[in-house]
Amino acid sequence: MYCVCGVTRNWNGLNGGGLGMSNFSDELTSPVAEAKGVETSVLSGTGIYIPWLQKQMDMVVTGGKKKKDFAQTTSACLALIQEALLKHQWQKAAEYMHSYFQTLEDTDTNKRQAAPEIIWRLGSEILYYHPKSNLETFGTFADRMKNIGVMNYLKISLQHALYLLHHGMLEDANRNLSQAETWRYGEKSSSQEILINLIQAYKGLLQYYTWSKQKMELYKLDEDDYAYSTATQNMLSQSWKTSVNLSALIKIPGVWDPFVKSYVEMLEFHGDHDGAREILTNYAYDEKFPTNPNAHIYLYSFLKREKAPREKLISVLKILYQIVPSHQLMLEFHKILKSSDKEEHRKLGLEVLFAILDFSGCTKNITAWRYLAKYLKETLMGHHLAWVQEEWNSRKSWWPNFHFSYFWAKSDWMEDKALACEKALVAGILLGKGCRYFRYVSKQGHQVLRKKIKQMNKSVKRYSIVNPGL
Amino acid sequence: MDFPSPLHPALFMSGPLGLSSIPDLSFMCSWRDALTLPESLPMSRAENTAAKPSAQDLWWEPDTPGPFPLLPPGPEPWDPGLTAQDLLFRGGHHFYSRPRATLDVTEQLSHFLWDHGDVAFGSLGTLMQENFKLEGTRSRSKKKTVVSVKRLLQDLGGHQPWGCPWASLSRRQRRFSILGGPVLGRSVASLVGELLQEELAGRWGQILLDDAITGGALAWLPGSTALAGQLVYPTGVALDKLCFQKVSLTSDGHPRVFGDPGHIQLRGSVRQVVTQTVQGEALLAVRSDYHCALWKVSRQGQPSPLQVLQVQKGTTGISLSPHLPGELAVCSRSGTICLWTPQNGLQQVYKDPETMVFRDHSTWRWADFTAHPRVLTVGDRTGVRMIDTQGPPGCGLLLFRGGAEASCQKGERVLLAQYLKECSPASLNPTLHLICTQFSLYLLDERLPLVPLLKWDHGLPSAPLVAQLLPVPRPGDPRPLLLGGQGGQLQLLHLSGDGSSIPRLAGHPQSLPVRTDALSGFPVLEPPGQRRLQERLDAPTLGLAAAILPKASTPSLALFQLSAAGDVFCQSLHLREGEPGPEPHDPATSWTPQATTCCCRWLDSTKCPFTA
Repeated sequence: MYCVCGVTRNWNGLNGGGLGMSNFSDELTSPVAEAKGVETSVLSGTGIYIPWLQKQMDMVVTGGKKKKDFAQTTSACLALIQEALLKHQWQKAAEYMHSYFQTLEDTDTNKRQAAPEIIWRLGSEILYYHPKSNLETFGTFADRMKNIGVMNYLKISLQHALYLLHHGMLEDANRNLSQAETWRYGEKSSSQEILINLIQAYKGLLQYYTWSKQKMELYKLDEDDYAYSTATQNMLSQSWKTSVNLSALIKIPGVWDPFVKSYVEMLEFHGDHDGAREILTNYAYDEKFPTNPNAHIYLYSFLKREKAPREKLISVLKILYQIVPSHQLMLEFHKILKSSDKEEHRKLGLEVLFAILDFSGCTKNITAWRYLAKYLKETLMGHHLAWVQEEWNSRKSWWPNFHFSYFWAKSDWMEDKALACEKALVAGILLGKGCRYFRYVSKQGHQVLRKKIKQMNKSVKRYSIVNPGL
Repeated sequence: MDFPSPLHPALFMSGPLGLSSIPDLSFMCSWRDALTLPESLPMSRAENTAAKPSAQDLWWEPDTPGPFPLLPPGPEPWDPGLTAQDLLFRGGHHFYSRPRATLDVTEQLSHFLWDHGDVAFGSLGTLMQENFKLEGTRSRSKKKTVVSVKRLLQDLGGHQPWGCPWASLSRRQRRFSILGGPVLGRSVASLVGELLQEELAGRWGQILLDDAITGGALAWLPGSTALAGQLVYPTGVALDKLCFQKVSLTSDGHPRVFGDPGHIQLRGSVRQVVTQTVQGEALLAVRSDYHCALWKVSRQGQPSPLQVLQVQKGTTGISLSPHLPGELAVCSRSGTICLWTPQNGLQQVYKDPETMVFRDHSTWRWADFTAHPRVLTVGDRTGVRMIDTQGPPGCGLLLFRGGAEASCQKGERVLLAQYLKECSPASLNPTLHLICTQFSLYLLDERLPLVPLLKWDHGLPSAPLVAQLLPVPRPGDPRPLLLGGQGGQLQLLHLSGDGSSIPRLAGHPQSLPVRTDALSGFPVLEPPGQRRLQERLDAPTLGLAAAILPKASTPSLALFQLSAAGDVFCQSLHLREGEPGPEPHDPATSWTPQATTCCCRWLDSTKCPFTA
């Protein structure tokens, strides 16, 4: 059987020798043919699993096969642990946990196999919050749990390493990850392989930390110094090691922001721009990956650093625009488009501004409103009324209520007069002088803003798309 | 808006539910979510370790051990209705290694035959009276198989032994019952049995999961000040009277009722009540099984009706737009989602009688709004999709897919999808959506579809059908997210993360007292009364509402619950913060005299005889 005693001893330290491993040995000798399958979720007949079905049935059904005392006590104990956790009673939970270890001796194979994972999940949770727990207790518990059964070794190692990382214990985390990396059990399954890749990637991330530390020190050195060249040499070897660790994982579909970011930084530093570009392009455009806005943002900022041609930048931002039209970079995108020679780009520039302001989180973005007011004027001056109308047609049914209502006129004027002025100008151009928002703002006789409001009135008179003939 | 960067590493696999070969990287630990990767610069890391990222212990401390009645009970006595006990076969299951839910049709049928024998057999008897002949082949059997009805009726002599199986029967009668039993029984069983089976299965499904009450039928309408407001909820046996009860909160968060509630009589059971204040205009929408209605609420709290909508196939969900006043999304059991405004009427935005990801028989549909006022989320049991109401019909990105992308388990289904609308830009992004299944809770960002930013195994012992994101109690605090199960269980989660960081759980979620915890606040009754009281407290939750009282020192939270018995219970809680102490949270919060008076008064005015 498993080395439960070790776990128990470890736990004893926490709760000061609470409940002992009471006599469950007689349970072990009696052959119990327990019900198989997941106990908590029983099929109700329509494809949906109802976890609380069992409870409902327990209240009604009498007779038939009854659960053995052993199963009853373990499941009751599990419920008590969960309840204590939800009440933040860490000490109580720890005491119950102590008794719950008996589930490792369950004669039901399914339950016994599922047990280590449940124990780890709940146990780590308790130890994370327990006031008396420390890195050492957590470590001992993790080490014990890793070796109970074989299925959880990698998972627990990884989580343990993350825990250490979180507490700033980089060396220990590294040692843990290195140990886990070389671990093998039976034939290498796909899930094992992914976990090993992930472990290697975290190791790579740790190496990146060392590398960036070296980079910081490098700045302190003189370039002609002998030490400088050895330091760069060191860093190069470090980055080579890292790339070995990271490159496998980032080919698997997923969200790997921290890994990609650090990998690219290293490649860039050592002058491998093509490599960095390839990784970022792959991360952003591979269809098997989720549409992660960060992938496009990283690619864009890389290209910008590289001083890539404007066409290239536009094409990257165009895709980002399709995914996240509300992103801050869209204002930058507008500026790039605006200065383009192509008419189609300048038209897109207007579309981008309208699209940002569609979103509820951006309604108070004064820069966006300022850009829009300015660009509307420019567009109309350039005789592109059709562009404005095209954008406005899909919005005229709801923008007046969404942006230019009397309520917003009042509250914007109260909170931010500059914003109110920009919005009023846009409202005037799009809806005409009769619009509630424009009327409200233009009637406010404000000392400082009087000149601005006068100018606004003039602009609206000239550019308003309502009754363009006049 | 900023997009959080970098995101947590996550594996992305497409595939069906319960694909076990993929490691579940979400691990289901709340602490794992709290972990942060050190910044790339060693300098800042040193600072980080100096201020050790301790496990913050956020805890809303209940003021009383359980919720207590806020309002007097309704005049009608409450009947718990059908329970699992009435529906399930109570005998042993010797043949199954795994216990199974078996509907007890036989018992219901035999009840019917005993109680309504005239209905069950009467018509057949009348039909047969003329030409009654039970004739077998005489040569083979010596038994007498022909009975004269005339004699039979004479035997009975008008004294039918109803309800008494041991009444003395003549031999002739016994013979008749043996011969006629199969014939008489079959016609009833074939006519009624199937319908009964269907009905029982439906009722049983409702006990396990009642999708009609998704969203909740209790709402808090904020008043002119933060301390006053109105509770809107249905009462009456049929839940067809919509009540408006003025409630004010004392400065330490205790609710106080003002006057009698105003009410509106409706023609249908209220299933969902939604309120929303958009641009200073308070709106109230109500859904019953076949109708939806919209009211505007004046500053003084007076509702004025705007429009009523009839839905032929039945409604499953309604939601009010947080962006445009008076705009609603309405879902119908036919699979149609419509945008509804009183001015412009209905606009169909989506129609699909089938579920979106895989085939599921449920007709439940749900819709909510997103950060873009023209984009809706449309959900069913299998997934959630984002639909542009201005785009071509029928297309849209999947926001959530019941499958390997979110590491869903086998048999996992979406039970609730909600847009977490955000008013203050200082905390969470306004692009988050909450998806609840029977196992877990997911947070998704509409800008990164299919990849959950957060997953938490809620472990509620009933269906989580109500959720509410509450405002920040204090600047910089995590946002409380309230999750309510159909069975009355409540869980409070703390979400932190601003615009540029990922939303995560701050601390371990906590459970809140349930209504049955109130039992200790009532005077002890005689056992039958006590049982009835417990039964009433145990009634399913129909709605949940909360009001937060932001205060610099200790913010308080007033929590209101509506039960299926029509009772409105309340509970106040205070935020306590600090390092987790060595001693467990003090369970000995005691009943305040005020709360016990409420309990006693409630008990006295209940028509249901608890003390008889």
